Amino acid sequence: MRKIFILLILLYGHLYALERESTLKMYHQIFSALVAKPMINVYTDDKEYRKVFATSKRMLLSAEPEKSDIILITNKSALFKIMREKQWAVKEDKKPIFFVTDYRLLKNSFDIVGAFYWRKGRSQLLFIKNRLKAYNITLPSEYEDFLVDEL
Amino acid sequence: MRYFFGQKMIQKSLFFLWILTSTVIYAENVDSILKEYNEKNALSQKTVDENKGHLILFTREKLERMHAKTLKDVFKTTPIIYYNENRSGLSDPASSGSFDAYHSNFIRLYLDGVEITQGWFGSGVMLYGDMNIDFVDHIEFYYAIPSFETSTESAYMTVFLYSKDPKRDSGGKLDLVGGSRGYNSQSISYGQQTEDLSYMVNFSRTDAKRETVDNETATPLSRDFERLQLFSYVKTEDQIFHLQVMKKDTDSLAGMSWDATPLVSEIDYLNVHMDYGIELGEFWRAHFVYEWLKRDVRQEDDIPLIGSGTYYGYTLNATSKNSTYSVDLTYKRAIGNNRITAGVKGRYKNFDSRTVEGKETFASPFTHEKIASIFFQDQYSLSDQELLTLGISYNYISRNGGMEDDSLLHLRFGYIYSGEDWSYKTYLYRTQFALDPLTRYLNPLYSQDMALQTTVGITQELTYHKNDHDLSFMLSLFQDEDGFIVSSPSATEDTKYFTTVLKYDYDFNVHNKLYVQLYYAHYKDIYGLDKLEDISGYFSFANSYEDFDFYNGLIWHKNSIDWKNYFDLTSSVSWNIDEDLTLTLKGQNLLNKAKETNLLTVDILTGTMDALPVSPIDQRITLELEYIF
Repeated sequence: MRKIFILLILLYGHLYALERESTLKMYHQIFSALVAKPMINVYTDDKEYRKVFATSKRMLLSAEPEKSDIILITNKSALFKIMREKQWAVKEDKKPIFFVTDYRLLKNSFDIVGAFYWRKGRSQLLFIKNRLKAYNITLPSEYEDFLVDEL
Repeated sequence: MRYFFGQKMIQKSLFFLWILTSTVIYAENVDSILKEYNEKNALSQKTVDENKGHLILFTREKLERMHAKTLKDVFKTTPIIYYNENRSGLSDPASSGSFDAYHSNFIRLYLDGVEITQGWFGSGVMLYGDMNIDFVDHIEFYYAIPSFETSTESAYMTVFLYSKDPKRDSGGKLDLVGGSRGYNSQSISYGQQTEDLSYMVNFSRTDAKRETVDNETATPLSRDFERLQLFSYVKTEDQIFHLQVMKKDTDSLAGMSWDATPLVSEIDYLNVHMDYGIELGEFWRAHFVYEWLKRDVRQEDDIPLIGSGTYYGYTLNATSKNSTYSVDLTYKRAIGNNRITAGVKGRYKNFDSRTVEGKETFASPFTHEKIASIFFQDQYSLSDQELLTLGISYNYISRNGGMEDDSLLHLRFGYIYSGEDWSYKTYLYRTQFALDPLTRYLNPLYSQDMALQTTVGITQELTYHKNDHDLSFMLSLFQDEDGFIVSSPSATEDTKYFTTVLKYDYDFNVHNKLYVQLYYAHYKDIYGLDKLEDISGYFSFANSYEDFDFYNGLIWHKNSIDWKNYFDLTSSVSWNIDEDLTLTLKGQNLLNKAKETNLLTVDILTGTMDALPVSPIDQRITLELEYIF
């Protein structure tokens, strides 16, 4: 049901707040395509996404990146921090899947398999074939339009 | 690892459930989930306030598809009040082409929820009505009397522009445009979100070489301008600071020439806007705004110039400065089914200085105006779907220089129903408008004790939204007593007007969209006319095919003055070379038949009046390069 939303109070810092239901649906759709598990462990240090994912029944918020199935990265500093601190290359067999919300992060870091980001007011979903291959991931056929060989 | 039978069963059941739910989710394909995500997460979803009035929304997606680069590109498509310019070439949507200083003070402009004004010289629309909108995410046009929470001064229409969010538009963007007659603009933006704050800066330069207007002399009227514009903000969870600067050097069309044959007609503007807002705990919010405007006027004619009731002579070189200070404190709280909003606002407009030929002089002792206002608003939820809203606001305006003070009382009562597919809202209004300070200053004797305009009205809106269809129908009926906003100050009859807007948007799919809008208005006793009928339409298609985006939009106008049809066709094709680079070819007013306004001219020797048709929309072809970094 469409709710009356005239009671909205606009807080300065909350302008970008995610809509919970559609965000959960979208990310569960994406993450389920990447990880064949009924319950997916997700790590992100983004407060806003953590709030949304905390309400999911299909995604479990992880406190430790190395124990997660997927790491969602939303900004450059978070990416540097994760890459610098965790030394993923050493234990590559346990490396979680990296997914981002920024096209430039996808473009500039070869560890990231895909991105869900905004471009000109439209959300865009993108996966890179050879990076998925490195994780032995085969996406369902409906994602064909969102796959590219390289950037 | 060993498992009990029960644990294995649970695991198998969970796996089966996962397969089942995954299948169900996949049954809803990615495209439809994406579409839902787009709609529900558009930034406009966070800012739209149904109680502000009747909304015409331009989402980020729509602005991008229209390839709108200035507010003018958007404003020209709106119903009821659409883009127009006055005899000085300034944005003045309500201009009738007459000699009045400025007509559009009842249209108020907001950036990120903070009003932009030009203080003494009127509404922010004056300078910002055709601003570069490269930093803007979405625009909301609210019709009819706005909620008292937003307005410090009386308004009939409010325009809200919201800036982009660095979380979605992080990094930089460079935009280069070149076009007809040497028109060119450059814009660069950079924004970043950090853990504790976000910021954004946009700087643009526009060298607008515009169409000249033939005035049957060797020197046609020019309205070229060069504009430097800075928009910036820094915000945290509970605070925000904006800084905006605009420098606009203009050729001012007919300017102060009675017969629209000036020898020199130039006005330069320099405007600074700063504001700071803070959330004070859970219920309180405060805002402080400072604005400053400097205006350099250079006018020359071979006959005396239009002046403040008297003649300046044949030349005028004047500089004026004015400052505006605004403050508001708002309290918001939900108590049971009531959402109460109350607050106090203050605004001080000061005409700082005016020099003519280097000598300090004021045309009138009236140099400042203070506005104090108090308001209360309650929104009472009758149910999950129904809401009653009641607002009352009182303004007291005090002035110096022998001008009378004014007391204004505004009332607003509304009902809103919001169902699954259908919504309905209706409002009753009683509002009052005071004559703007510039007109008062220019006509001190005539406007010492000017009666307030009292406007009463009723508006209704029915909307239907289901799947790919979005339909709305709006009706309004107003009456202005002692009207000076849309009527001549000398009019003896009240102005009455009825307007209706039908709007329909249809999404064929995520790549192809249709926007349709029809508008009809019937005015009685306006602009010295007994009756005026005004009709307009806007039809547009936005399509995407592989790496190309197409937009075709047609605006149609006609009115009962001559029932002449005007068409403004805008088309664009964008080639998205890659994610970072886009090339766009755009043409506006391609048929060269965009709406015109008759600029009034007077031969002061014979007293003969004539009209010079001028369109605010240039015919222009542009090529644009957009690079995201």
